[in-house]
Amino acid sequence: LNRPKILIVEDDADMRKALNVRLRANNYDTVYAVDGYSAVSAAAKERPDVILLDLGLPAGDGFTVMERLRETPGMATIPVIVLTGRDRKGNWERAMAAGCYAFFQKPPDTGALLAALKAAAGASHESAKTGVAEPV
Amino acid sequence: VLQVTSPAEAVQVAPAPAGRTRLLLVEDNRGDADLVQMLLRDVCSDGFEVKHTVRLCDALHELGSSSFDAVLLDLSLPDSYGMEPVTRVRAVAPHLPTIVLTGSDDTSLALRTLREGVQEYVVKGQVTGQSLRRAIEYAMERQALSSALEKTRAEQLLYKDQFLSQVSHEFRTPLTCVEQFSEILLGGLVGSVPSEQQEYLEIILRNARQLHHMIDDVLEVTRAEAGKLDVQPTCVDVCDVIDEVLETFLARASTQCIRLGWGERPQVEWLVLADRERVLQVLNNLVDNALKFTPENGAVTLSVGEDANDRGMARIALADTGCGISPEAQLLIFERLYQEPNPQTSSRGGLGLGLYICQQIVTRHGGRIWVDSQLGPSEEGRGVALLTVEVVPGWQAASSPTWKKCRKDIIVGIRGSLAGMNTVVLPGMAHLSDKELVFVITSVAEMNKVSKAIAQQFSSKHLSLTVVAKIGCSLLSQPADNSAERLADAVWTMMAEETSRRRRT
Repeated sequence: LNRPKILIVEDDADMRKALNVRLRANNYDTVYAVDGYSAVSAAAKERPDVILLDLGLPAGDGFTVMERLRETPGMATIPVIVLTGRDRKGNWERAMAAGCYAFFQKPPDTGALLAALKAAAGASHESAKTGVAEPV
Repeated sequence: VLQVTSPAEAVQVAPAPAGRTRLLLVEDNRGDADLVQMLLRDVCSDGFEVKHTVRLCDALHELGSSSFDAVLLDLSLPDSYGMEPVTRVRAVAPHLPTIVLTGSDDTSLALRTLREGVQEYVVKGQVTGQSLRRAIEYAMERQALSSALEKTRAEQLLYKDQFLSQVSHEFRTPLTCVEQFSEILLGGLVGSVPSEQQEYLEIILRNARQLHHMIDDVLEVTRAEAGKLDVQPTCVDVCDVIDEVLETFLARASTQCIRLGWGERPQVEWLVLADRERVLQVLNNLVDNALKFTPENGAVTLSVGEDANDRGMARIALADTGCGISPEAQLLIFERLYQEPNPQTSSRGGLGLGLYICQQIVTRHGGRIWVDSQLGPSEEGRGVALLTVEVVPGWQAASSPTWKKCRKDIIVGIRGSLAGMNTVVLPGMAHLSDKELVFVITSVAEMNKVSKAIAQQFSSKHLSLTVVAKIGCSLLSQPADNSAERLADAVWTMMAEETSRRRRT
């Protein structure tokens, strides 16, 4: 009960599966989206605690997704963790400016990724409880 | 895989301009200048439009304000010395066809001007209208050819870099899947794994990780060759970095029964101007290498001290009791794709890019990396890898009396190229009040870039910035043995002058 829900946004099916197995084994519920467009609607429908986001996606890349989320009331405070095959340089700065919670390059250090997810899920709960960070 | 266009195919030489050829004639002797114009008029009455200047500074001004097809350049001008006319004209207009027109029939001088990028060398007494016209036309043609070749080469390099970068990135996702699923199986996430299968899975994982490192190395080399190797220096304590490296490898060293540690840990801080992550990357690579080549019961030690040859630099030394490196190999190990056969293990190495990357990183810091080693077993360290990184002037303040004098006003030194640097992080800046002066030591070439970067970063602090350009140029481009002292003295003098000037006003 009360397992944090993670939205995995990843266009590679194998990668999605790997993350899915890993997260479920660590007591997370998972839902997924395969492109930028469905990521935003999935976030609205599922209200995940954390979004694990790839940057290179069809139908709106990760940056577009973050932008849409920030514009949408209720979704602006969901922590986003970026997991990408792209270079850290340039993308890290952009992702951080877009308000991402943590940035990982593929292949990630699994321990560090799980730690970031745990912290992000905690942060998500805090903001949901107090409601301060929620723009109207 | 790479498609290489042959130069003959790729080069498209611009057709000769339909109108008159615009020439800049730089000649201090009025008689000679008139003669040249007369010769050109005789051979082709309205083919050339000549603008004549007497001094080099006027010529440079002309080049900046209007466009020319070629420049006829005398070497003995009233406001220049030696090769200066050539180097300064080439600096302002690197792609302008240049013909040296001089009274001196000196073959070695002629060759020197050609090496500086001049296309033709014409001796005044020997020239006719026809030969002068030909020299101008040839110069223009040669410049067009070399520009086109340069462009093609740049395009090919860019294509190669983009290709390698793209391919390497595409490798990452499938590789991540291999790693992830191996880890999932090994971690028992989907049921327990018998020991033999576990062993094989570990082999898969180890190889996947090795491939991952190779891809990272290829990307780094691509970046380095595109001049995009990112180095962002801040004030870094080397001892702290070395402690971190030691911690990373301690477990592995103890499994290998190798003593890994400090040679002698300095009691004082060693602050250097460096990119911490990059220094870490270099040292990790060196220690990893040292552990590979050191037998059981050996030792790998790290130490830091002042570089005896260049006192503005810190010297980090890594010594191991491995087999040593032969003099022939010493010349090669920093080359790309060099692999040293390893007597310790039969395992494959990497791509042979690690030390090349280290060298690129150290060079980008303005430092140098080298080995000092003998072959054969020995009690003490045999293979010694050394590298230098620039010491933060603030550290020198503590030890050198000259710098101590300067300590009150913070001095910031930047050596090496700033190209590719997004931000310049200046050590000691945080402690400055807005009343203090900041002296930035840089070369003339970098001056604009540096002052812009500083203005962007520190505009809010209202610092008075003085970019010390005139001393920086010669001292920083040719560091001599006593450059630190000379620099300190020069800065000290300049600061004293500037401070008293401010007091007067």
